[in-house]
Amino acid sequence: MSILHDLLYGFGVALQPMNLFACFVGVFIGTLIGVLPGIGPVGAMSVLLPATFGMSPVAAIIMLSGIYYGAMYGGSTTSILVNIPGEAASVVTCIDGYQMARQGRAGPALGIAAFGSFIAGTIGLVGLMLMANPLAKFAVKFGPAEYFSLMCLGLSLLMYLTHGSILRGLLMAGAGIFLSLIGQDIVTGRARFTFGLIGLQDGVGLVPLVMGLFGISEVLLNLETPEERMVLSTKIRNLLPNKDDWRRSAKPIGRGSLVGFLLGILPGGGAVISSFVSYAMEKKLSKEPERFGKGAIEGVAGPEAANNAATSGAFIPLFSLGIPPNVVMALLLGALMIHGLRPGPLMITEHPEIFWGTVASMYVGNVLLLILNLPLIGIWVRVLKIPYNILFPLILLFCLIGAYCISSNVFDIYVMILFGLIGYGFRKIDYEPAPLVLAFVLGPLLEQNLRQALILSDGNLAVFVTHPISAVCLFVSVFLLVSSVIPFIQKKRSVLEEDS
Amino acid sequence: MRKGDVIKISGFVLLAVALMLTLSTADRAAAAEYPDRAITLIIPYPPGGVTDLGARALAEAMERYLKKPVVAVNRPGGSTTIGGNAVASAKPDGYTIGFFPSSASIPEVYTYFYEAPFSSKDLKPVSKVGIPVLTIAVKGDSPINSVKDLVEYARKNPGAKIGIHGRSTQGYLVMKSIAKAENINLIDVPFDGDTKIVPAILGGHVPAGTPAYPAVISLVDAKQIKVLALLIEKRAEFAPNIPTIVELGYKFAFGAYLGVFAPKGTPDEIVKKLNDVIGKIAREPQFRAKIHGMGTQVSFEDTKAFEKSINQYKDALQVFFKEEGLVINKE
Repeated sequence: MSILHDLLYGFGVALQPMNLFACFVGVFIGTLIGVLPGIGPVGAMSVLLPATFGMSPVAAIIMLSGIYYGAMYGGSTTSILVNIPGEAASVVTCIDGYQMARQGRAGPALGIAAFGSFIAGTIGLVGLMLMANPLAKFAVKFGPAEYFSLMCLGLSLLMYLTHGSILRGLLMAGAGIFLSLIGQDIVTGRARFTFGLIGLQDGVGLVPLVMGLFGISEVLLNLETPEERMVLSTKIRNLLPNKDDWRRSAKPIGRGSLVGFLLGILPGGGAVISSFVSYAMEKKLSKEPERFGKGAIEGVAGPEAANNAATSGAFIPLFSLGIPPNVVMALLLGALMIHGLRPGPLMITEHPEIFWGTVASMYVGNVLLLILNLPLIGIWVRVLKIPYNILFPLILLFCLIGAYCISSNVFDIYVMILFGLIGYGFRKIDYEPAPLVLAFVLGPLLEQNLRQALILSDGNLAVFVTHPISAVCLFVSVFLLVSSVIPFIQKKRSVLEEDS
Repeated sequence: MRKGDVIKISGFVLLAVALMLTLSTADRAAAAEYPDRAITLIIPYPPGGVTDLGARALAEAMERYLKKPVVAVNRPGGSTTIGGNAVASAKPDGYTIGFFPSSASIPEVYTYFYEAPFSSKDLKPVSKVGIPVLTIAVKGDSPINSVKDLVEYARKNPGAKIGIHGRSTQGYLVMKSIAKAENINLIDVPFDGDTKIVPAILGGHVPAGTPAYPAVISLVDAKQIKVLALLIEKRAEFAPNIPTIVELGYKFAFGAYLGVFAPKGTPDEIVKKLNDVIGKIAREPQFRAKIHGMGTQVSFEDTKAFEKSINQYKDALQVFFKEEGLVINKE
């Protein structure tokens, strides 16, 4: 019962007027910046960081974390409406979300994203509350060998991301891995494939890449066919998911929450990967995998739940080990340190008001977000009625501003435009960008962990099978690969037989 | 010449003289009244890290003395050289300055790792503000209790592994120096920042590592991590019980620094004014407490002393990289 007691204490902290206000401001700003492409939670939090110096530490962290999970709610909006991921974790939402919008079902897509986020956020919180310490202990069991095998598992999910040719998906993944090699070599520190450009020294930015491949190329593609627009503006039916939508989404939301929460705990894992994993999992488990890519609501519900649960999971290493698993958590850590607090193993006992106050504020924040986001759906759907000749320049403008805002660097704008053109070319010849993005995210993790594991084992490849966690991950990925390739080969054969 | 023309010409001359006088006084006034508008402080890191927070604390304090806004701007990327270049190529008027580590201020030493479009010749050091503090750390229940133990362990297990941030960093420099002095073989495992090194130590994946002190403070308090030594010269106020490697008898030529830099050609009066203000801030107990709380050592050096230590650092680093083969042989 002590947890209940602690939680009540937490609500006592979170519901103080000042903290409640901080929570509202946080989730409100989070929703806004989630909707704006490019401008992610990191930018908004760093701008607001100095403003929190004058607040109490609890209010500061409540507001900043509100921005973080609020952005995850808002991030799906532009993915669904205009095929531009608001942040990297919403890339997969584009695949089916945008198709739903084209079929006039933007409302249910946005609705299920909001409800899914709410449910997953709540499930994640329960996990954070009950299991923070044991899970943190489990997370450090992942060394380089385990990570490498986990990333292999992630990469084997590629098979489920494409709905066309598997070969084309693999080619795109290869391109993604290659792009991820640009930048500093992790072992020697030397610059690779940078052509002497300092803008490439730290690699190609994920956000400009994603905004180019999805957003800019979408705008370019639509410039060719203005008449398709008619479909979008005429058939906007119900605004909320119906019974059938709920029936299809319930399980994906549950599974997405679990996967997102677990991957969120691992440093470097996080929201992006978990959304991909959830999508692949739903497609694999679905009885009608052919619906994916054509507006399946499961493909929106699962990943959106996953990226939200991952935000709760990410708090675990921060609060229990003092290790920030991503840049956003690093900012939160910084905000706490400015106030003279040091998150770590002793934090929960020494400063219960911070931990329980934040946890309780996240329950409050999730409710606020749902109240905030549901009425917004009606407004967002109306955005689609804006004529293309006004909407498109606006989208381009927001993308340009967003790309620049990432690190006040004009170079990122060039990267985005370049990938916009490349993405346009890819789509012309029917190559899908999602496998490229997944491989691009996994690439550096694969390489670093492979090399670290091999340095640690003095070059002995056996580490990947002698470490139990690693062996299990490798086994599952081999199983997935084989099970997805066999039907493909059989189909090929039957097609050949039919032809002959 | 007509009378009217004379009047016109002399009127013109008078006007010109008057204009010149105003301009020159305006010029003098500008220097005397620097700053008369907001100053930009460039931070070559993304927001949130201890260096970023330290720079922000400095900006806030400078604002109090200079009575004008000091705006902290993050320009991350290019291994800190994007931020470095932003200052190196800025107008030398004292309104664009930077808070830099060595990688952003002496990029010519690191040509093996990256090429920057500027060198230390394009920057004017203003003052040293602090020293980033790295550690040699092991897991809390490790049998290794001192640097001596670690050296013994490496002697018994040739090719012992140690987690570092990469070969251009302080951790590598110190680790290699120790290995050389003790004639042992340590193998460096590069990790992508403290957030990867610390879990690897906690999980027992590497026996030791060189994470930054701020990244392990809370784990030290909880006895999950032991810090064997700090990779600095003088014992830190905030960690009076932890020896430094210099105290342990290792020669230490690499005094890493964090300092304020201005573009080359910034007027001397402005550099002096900034230096004076930073000197006052570095003595403020409030500022020191803030920086020490974040596990960074406050260490002020004025312009002259700072220039000298940068040169020393540069020379030592050049020799080291040459010995390690981390140079580009231009033929």
